Amino acid sequence: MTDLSVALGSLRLRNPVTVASGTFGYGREYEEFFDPSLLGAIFIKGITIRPRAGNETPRLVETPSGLINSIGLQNIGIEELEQSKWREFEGIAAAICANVSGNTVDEYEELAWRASRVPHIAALELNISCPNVKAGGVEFGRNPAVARDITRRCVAASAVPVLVKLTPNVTDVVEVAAAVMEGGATGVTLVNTFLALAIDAERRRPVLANVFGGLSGPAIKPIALRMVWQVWGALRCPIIGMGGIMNGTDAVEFLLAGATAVSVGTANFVNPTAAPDILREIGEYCDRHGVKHISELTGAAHPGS
Amino acid sequence: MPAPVTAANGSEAQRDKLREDPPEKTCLFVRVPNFSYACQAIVVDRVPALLMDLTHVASGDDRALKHQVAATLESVRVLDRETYVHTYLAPAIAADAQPGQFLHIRVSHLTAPLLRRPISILWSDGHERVQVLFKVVRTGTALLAAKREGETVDLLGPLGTPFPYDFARDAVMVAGGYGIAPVYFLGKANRSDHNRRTLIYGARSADQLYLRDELKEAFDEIIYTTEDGSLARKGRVTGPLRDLLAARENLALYACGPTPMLAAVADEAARVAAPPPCYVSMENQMGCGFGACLGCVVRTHEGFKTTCKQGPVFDAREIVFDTAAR
Repeated sequence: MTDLSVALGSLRLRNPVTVASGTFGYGREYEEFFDPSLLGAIFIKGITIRPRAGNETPRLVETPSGLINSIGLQNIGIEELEQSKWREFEGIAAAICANVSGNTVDEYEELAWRASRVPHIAALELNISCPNVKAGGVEFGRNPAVARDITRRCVAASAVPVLVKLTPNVTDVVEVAAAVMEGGATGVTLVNTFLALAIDAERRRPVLANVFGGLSGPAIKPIALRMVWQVWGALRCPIIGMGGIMNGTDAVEFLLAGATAVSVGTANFVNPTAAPDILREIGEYCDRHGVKHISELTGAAHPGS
Repeated sequence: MPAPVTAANGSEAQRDKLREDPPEKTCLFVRVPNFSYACQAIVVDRVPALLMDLTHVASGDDRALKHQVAATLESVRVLDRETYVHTYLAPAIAADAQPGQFLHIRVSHLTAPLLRRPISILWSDGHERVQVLFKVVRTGTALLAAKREGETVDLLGPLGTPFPYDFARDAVMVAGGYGIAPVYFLGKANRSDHNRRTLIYGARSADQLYLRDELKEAFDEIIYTTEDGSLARKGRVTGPLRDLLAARENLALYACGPTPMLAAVADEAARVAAPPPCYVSMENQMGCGFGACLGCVVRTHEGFKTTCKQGPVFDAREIVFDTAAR
């Protein structure tokens, strides 16, 4: 039996399988399919200062081996999380991580302070990479200096470890990762979705109401994998790797590229038990390869490892 | 006899009234789970307390059971070049399936097409078999249509909200095109002598009015419309619907079809003096199918709601149709 527990800096997880923000609701949405306590961590739906209705529809379009979404951060807002929603986290053994999004740096700081003090919240994930909102979001994640500043202020305000979710829509992801690590982040989540477009040829119009959306799913896996490789190669920092993970082999590839843990996103929509299935398959891989501790796999595909 | 309060339609106010002023006799309509959809009518003495309990049991999330199963495709019936009926052996799903709910079907274990396909349940025998009617639209449904008898198919279901059903009112069920599936299920599952079930079924032409033989046993009365006049009344479902609404009283409307049709049905229902209850089953592009991705929302007067979990069946008055029909 392999020891599957992982540590991202001071954040300890029971196992390396987490579920990505925006794909798992607030933690209970998959309860009829499996016990959420099986997971290493749950990244809850992105929280903003005020509740958000989200974007107009259509919000989703399927593409070859991928999915473009433009949900637009539909969420309950920080106040409802503080006042009542947190009760749903009770009894879930997985680390509950709050994904937060601000329109301004001040909003990020306020969210970090408030969300980190919500009962049962084990970590924060700063979403400086959402492609589907007008203000803030991805713009912060493209500028290393701004990303560092936001991280620094949120780390100072937060009562729990701070992870930063990065956008792949940049020329050099390493530069932004280095900036947020310098700002005091516990680790980085790589990657959010790729800005994408689908057009309906018959209607001669974009498919999505918001025109652009974020591409996820197996289509982006090789690019996400490359980015995890680059960041690990340059920084050796804790990484939660994600992008099109559908099965245990995909997850192991991310670990080998440099991730300490992985996040399952789009696969949850296709197979609601994808995350526990992937955990089991990682265990089987480790047994087959005589892995004693899962951390042996992190970065193991890099030369000299 | 006062109008019965059914598990599905009983409002808090109605229940309060029953508590205060219990009737001497109460007629309970009980659907026997895992057995059949035939409703048993049981007349009992003064049971408001029991009625309260049943109302609780049958409401909302308490019965939201979902199963992911590898079901055997037992039989394939080809209705025309692009229209199929699949019968799956899926006891767990069949036992819980109710009219208005859908199956989310994974058509391939490869990554393209990636997402499942939501398909309305046409019929469940209540214990073993569940059927769907579908049209081949693009790749996903074409792959489903290519499956052979004996193959296993990955089904998720039953998903979504079922139609509420009111035995105290005569049912007018309106279907457009492939929207016949849940409407057929609703009509057939609620066969009884307690109310009249009228179907208004419209399509572009006669050959697109499916399952006409089967429909006869599910409804007391059927009115067909075709846009090209190739069968029965030429035009759309709204014509006969308007006539019915003008001529009869104490109706409840249940509809499934293209969104513009649902909007028209809701309009017709709203324009009569005493608007009947009107339930519509909305169609939408879906992601997960169980409320997690928020991709399939529809605009309601209370904000966006998910078609897959808070729907697909909504009270028509909830829906903001001008946006939904875009």
